[in-house]
Amino acid sequence: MADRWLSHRVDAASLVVLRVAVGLLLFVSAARFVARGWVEELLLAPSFHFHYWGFAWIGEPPAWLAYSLFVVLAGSSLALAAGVSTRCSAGVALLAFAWIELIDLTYYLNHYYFLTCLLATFVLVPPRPEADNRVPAWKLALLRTQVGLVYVFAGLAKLNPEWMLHAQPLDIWLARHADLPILGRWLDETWLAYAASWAGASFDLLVVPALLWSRTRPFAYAAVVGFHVVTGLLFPIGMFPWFMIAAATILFPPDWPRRWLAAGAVLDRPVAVHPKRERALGGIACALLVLQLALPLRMLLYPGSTLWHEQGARYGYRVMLVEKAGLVEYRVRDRSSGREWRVDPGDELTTLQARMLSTQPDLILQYAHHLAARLEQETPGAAIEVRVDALVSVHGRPARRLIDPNVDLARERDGLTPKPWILAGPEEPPP
Amino acid sequence: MSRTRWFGVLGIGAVAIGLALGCPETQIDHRGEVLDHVGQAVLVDLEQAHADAQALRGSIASLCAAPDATGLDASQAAWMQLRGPWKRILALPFGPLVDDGFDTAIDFWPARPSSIDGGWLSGASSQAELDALGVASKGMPAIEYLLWDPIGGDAAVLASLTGTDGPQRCAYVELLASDVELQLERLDAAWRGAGGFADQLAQAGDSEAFPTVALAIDQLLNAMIAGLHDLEDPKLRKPLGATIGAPQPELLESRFSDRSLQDARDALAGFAQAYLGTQAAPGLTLVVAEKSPAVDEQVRDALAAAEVALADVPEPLRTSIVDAPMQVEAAADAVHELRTILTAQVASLLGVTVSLSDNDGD
Repeated sequence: MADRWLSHRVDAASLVVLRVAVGLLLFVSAARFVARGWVEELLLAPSFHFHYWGFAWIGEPPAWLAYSLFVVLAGSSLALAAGVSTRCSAGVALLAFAWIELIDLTYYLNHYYFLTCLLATFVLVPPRPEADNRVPAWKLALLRTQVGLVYVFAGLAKLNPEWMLHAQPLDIWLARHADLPILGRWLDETWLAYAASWAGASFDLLVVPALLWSRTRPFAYAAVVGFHVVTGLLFPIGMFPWFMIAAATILFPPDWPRRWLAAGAVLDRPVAVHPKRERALGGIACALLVLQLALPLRMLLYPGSTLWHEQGARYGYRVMLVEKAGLVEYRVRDRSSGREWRVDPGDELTTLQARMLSTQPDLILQYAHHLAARLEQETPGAAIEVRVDALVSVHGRPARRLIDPNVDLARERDGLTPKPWILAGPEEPPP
Repeated sequence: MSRTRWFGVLGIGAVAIGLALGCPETQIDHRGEVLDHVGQAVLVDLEQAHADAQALRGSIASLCAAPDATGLDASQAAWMQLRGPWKRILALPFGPLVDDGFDTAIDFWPARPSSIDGGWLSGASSQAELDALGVASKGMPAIEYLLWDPIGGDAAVLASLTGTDGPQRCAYVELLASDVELQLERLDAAWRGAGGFADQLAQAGDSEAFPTVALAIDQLLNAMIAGLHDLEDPKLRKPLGATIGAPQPELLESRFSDRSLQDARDALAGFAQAYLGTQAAPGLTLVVAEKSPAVDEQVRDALAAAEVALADVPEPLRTSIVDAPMQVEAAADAVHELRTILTAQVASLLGVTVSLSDNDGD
């Protein structure tokens, strides 16, 4: 049975369309990042970058490297779209994209993570036709799972009291657009926030099977386009909607592009492959999928609300789930001199970095370590303690302390175990 | 299409039309109104500031024509008078004030005596020559430095204006006053009239600067928070010694005239004006109270507490940072509390954090 499934072959057309669309959209993303001045503003201007665990060595790139990464990304994206050495161009695009992503943790986005995983899957399972213009069905299944899990986890993440019972954060976010013509008058209505919350959760949870089932597919894809266009218009989510509108087509029948092509038309040049090597690499792609399926579940290991403490939140496709704002101020004490003073992180960080730091405990910790190291280097003999006053409001509730103000964060290590210095979140309903 | 499907489509259409036409509008969006009120309040202050700057230029011209104690008093009073509206304007650091650099062009502080002395010693005698100098050599702090002497008093100032270098110093102060007036005139022009910043604010949602009302509210709130930060940190905490553990009077704003505390109070008044507005033209309070009366009450209480704490600091701040540091610290803490409520609760309540991200969200 397994052998039969492994040897079953399907049309490669939908994979090719996915690859072309992703390649072109990546090219647009790279060009857009440069055109908007974000290379300078986000990568080069900050004097300090928050690093990903284990990737401190990435550091701040010099200007030539930063721009080169985007040139390489843009070039390899176009090559990927064109099907030039598909595996190789996907690999180069992956390296450039991941490098850019790893420069600063505060710029983490779920869709960057998704694209990194998708490109990795492209490297392992290149979306190109094999000698018979077809591919093994398992390759299509891998890519479908890769795309589908974004929706499923986004839907599961919405099944929380804030989203389902209090219609937050949509109640806040939709009301911001109450000035829109025609629709605007409804966007400040609480019932609409509830309807949108429930509809959003239902959409995420049901769209994958609905796209796979032929009878519901047209409605489901119309919903995909409508949902992503509306969210793209209402919220600053950049290229994400366009990537998802393109990626969702992988859930169509594998030969769907041929309906718009002349009979016998060739979508892409077939490539001879080594079946054994392909299966081995497919196994690695499977492992990558299993990892992606397991990572979001780690949030269950941390007590309390993930929306509050954020432990286990990254790499979980927890998309647009919370409206949080905070203010962080560090209190520094030099044990050797007894001197105490305050440090405003905004003095060193960019506005965006400071904003992201203000609600995320691991960033608060990382900056505390940086502060201690910097001050001890500046003042030989100093023994720096760093405490923090971090006040955070979730969905408009009264602000409360996120971090125990008595804990010397300079002595705390980051890790996967629950952080005891994160205080309990609010239990009262939002206002 | 089957009959059932036709009925389905008609049913959905009927529901949609019913929703669009039949349901009453229960919420009124007051944000545009608030933005208009805030813009109008700034225009009033700009008009006042411009008039005060004209008066300052006139009084300095009279002083330089015949330097005497009366003329000096009049010039000092005119400078003091201008500070009020200017500090209220500066409480909302956004729009052309910041984008076009008027904030530092008019009010770069803490004053750097060496740069100001370098200015008049350079012999700059025209607007073009003044334009070539850095912001540290000009603006209101430079005028203050040349009109006050905390050690020698007015006698020393008059001596400096009538001594060998007197004419050159006086010509430079006149030039500075003229420049401040010019800068305020330009700032006023950037705010006023069709297409001006006040108009852009009032037309938010349909204006070039603010394609959405939400964007304008975000900028307003962030400006109010930035203004409070400037009040808490550079005006109070840093001179108190927050960074080195000892008072730093050289970091005080308006340290020559000892107007530092009044500057701080005026800055808070500028915030209060934007938040509370007036009975007829309410400020941001209107929007916040609609979302959460409790949060609005918290802001009002924190604002009142900050006003009281600032009033409790003995004059002048130059000596209070040494003799009454607890009161200065209490004032800074009170402003911090107000800033915290704005940054955390009000921002969260209004969804301000979802936008203004330089990068794409999720």
